[in-house]
Amino acid sequence: MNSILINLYFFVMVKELNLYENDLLCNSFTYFASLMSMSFIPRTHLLQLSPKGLYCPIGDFYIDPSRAVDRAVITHAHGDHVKAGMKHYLTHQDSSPIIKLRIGTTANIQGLAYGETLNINGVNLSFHPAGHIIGSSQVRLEYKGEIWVVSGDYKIEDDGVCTAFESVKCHTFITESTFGLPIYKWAPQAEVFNEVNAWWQQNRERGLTSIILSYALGKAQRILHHLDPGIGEIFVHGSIKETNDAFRNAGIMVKDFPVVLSGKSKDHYRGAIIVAPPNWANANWLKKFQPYATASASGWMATRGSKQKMPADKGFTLSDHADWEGLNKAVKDSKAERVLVTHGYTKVFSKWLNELGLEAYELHHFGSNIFDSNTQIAEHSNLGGEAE
Amino acid sequence: MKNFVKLFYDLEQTNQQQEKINLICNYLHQVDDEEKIWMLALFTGRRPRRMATTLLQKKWALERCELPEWLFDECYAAVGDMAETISLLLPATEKSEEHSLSFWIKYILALEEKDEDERKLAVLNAWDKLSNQERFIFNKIVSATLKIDTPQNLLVKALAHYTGLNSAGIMHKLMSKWTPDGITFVNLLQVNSNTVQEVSAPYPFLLAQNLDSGFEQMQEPADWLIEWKWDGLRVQIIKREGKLFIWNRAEELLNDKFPEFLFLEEALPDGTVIDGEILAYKNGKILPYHLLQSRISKKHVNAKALAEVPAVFFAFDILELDAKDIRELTLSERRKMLAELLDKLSLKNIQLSGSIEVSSWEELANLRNASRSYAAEGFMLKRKDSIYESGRQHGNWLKWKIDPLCIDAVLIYAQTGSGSRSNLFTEYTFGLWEEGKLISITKASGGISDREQLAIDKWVRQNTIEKFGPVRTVKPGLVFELGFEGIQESTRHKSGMALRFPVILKWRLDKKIEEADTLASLRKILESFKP
Repeated sequence: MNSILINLYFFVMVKELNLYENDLLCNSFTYFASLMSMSFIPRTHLLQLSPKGLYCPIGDFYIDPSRAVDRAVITHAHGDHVKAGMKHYLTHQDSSPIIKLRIGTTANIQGLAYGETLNINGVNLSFHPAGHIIGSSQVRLEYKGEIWVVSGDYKIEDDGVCTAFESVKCHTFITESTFGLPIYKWAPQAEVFNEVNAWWQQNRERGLTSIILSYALGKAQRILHHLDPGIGEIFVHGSIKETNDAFRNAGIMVKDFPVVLSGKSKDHYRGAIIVAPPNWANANWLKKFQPYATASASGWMATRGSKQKMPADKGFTLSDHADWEGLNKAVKDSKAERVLVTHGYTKVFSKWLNELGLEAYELHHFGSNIFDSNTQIAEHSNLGGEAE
Repeated sequence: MKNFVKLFYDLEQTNQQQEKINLICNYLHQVDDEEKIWMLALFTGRRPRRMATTLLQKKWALERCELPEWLFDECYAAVGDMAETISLLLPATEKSEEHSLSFWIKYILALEEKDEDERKLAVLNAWDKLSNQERFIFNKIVSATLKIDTPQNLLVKALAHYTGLNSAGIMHKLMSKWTPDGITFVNLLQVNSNTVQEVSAPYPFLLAQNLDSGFEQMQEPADWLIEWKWDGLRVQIIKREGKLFIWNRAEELLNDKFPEFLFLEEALPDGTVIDGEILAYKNGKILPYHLLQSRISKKHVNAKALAEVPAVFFAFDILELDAKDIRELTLSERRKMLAELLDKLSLKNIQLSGSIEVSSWEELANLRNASRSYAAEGFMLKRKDSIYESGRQHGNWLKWKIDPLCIDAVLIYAQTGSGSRSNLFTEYTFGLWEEGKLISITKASGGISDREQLAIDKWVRQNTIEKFGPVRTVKPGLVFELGFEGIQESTRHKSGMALRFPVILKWRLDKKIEEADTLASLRKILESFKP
């Protein structure tokens, strides 16, 4: 078995070294490798990367597919993970209201609770908390004793809003790596929210309206939960209100705040804080609140370069993704024999795990030759925005 | 160092001038005079000598972090700054200690006496005591790479506000020769505006603002001194205590570059400072600025260059006469003194910059269209009753430039920027159509918002056809309006033409690539430049 693994590993390395510019050479390797995987590798490939996304051939379903398929398993409701057009959505029950909100009420959605198991063609599927946003899940697949876990997006720290991350033991762990560099180390959120509240307080004393830019789903609920209502009034932009309402109507209690209304005088909002989505950062919409100060909250704020590029006055380093230590901890706690790295610094993090002695690959180099590396870079460069 | 670090990061996070001034004032209130001197030293580029290169710091940091070098390099590629990368990768501070900026600068200066091993120990020891942000500043000072982007005039305004002293005097003092050791804050800023401070020091240049509003508030043309705006090199020519100094705005001494003015050391009376513009001038014609520039860029000005690109000085103001600072006199009075002085001395290669008389602003507007044929780039408008203030002042000196020439061109190559822009495609090459092909005409960067920059960066990544090292060839798809101030024939460029000062004016989302300009239309513009 060892020698076969080495062969497979060799195949991956060859691809990395770009020795496969010669198509013939490449094809022969691919053929060779697929032959190997079919006939000799004792492990079952529960998932493989296909043009439409991560596919489970035995269960015949996709996880977070990017194009229309019959059966889609959704890790969480951020826009880059759930698309319209699936015949059937399977997700955590707390993600359903948002998928309905975004895709339409006619969508055929089945919701599961954490830990509840569904058998699909012999594959046992269950959702486990990923701690990223409300409803976010790791997907656990089990088939004949072989266990794979797809992390989806996750963070380790309990944010007080969504169910905290739980480590799930598995043979193969597919992990995200958005912040897969050791420069990313998050401070405890209590420290960050002290800064946020102090910033608001200071703006208020100077007669300014505070505007904090954050994604409507996830970061907004987290920020709203931790703002200190003792400082002043809290308002939200309509799109955040809509998300909050969707949660509340489904019986998921998130803190609710009034929506900012046009037509009110500026003084109405003086000293208050408004939580709004980032696409409003430069809009005329902001002018209504002059004088104001803006802030954005994101993991990318950890470096000066990204901070300066943000169209906001202040940057708070706050992320719903795991930092470097978090990624390492999740991998370690999963006790996985094999790690496949996706979404972000895939090359760096898989190489790092290799050097620690773990069998790790970039997901897109694993068992697939259709991958277009340019698109991947664009989607997950540190400027493509976090999460959504 | 808490206060200084906070000041540094806060300044970086605001674009508002008044806010920057407030931040500096608050800081000055918080720290003692010794720290103020060091802060001023760092803000005016008087930084301590380099005690360790960034590479040496990297080596030490690698040992401390226990990370493989390749991983460190990946981090550096994402951060774009070595000092910052190190500060982010070092283990969390366990026992932080608060010391003043002065303490840490003296700590760094003491490294001078130490050998490499001792320096390493001292730097590691400092890292253990500093927070992330403090480490960043510390590393920057140790490697002599700390850059402060705050403009000098804001620093001066803050100091004026804090001390109650006059800002021209403060600017003069800051620009003069001083070192942070052996001067106190009080001594540094003590100003007596009637005595000449330093033999060589120029006065802070008065900078003109763009005329961007109409003429409604400007009253009559008769209240204004109107001059052609020449495209030359702004200098102050200073004669004090028997010595001549020619300074440009970047505070570079240019005596060596202009042998034709050295006779002024004899000819000008002591205690004279004249403000004006050096131009390349031959056979009664002003030559393009780039000829003067290439003459300056040569190490030695040889006889050939002197003959081909002779320089003249157009004097337009006088700031010191008979060793008296006369900047508080009105422009009319100064101008009269300048004219009398030049008349009396009748100096070779020096002339009074001519003024333009018009009876109405409309008349001037008409004349403006003819600027290019005079080799001028518009007008300078100066209030006759204004004093010579320092820095960019509101309303008294205005420049009314001719509109830049412009074309719509297609993005064909993109390249990543440097430093903090190293992970962003910010430098672009543009092409124009000829026979169904795009021919590259110029590089240009800047001029677009950060938001657009991000969108373009993303677009470049998704539309790359080819990669050559850092350069990407992209699928033609984006059109930009480019402005430029001049154009000349060039054998080095594929298009046969070179643009002067190209800038991106606008991202033309409304235009298709087929609607971009042709090389032929650019050639037409080139023809219009020929006499």
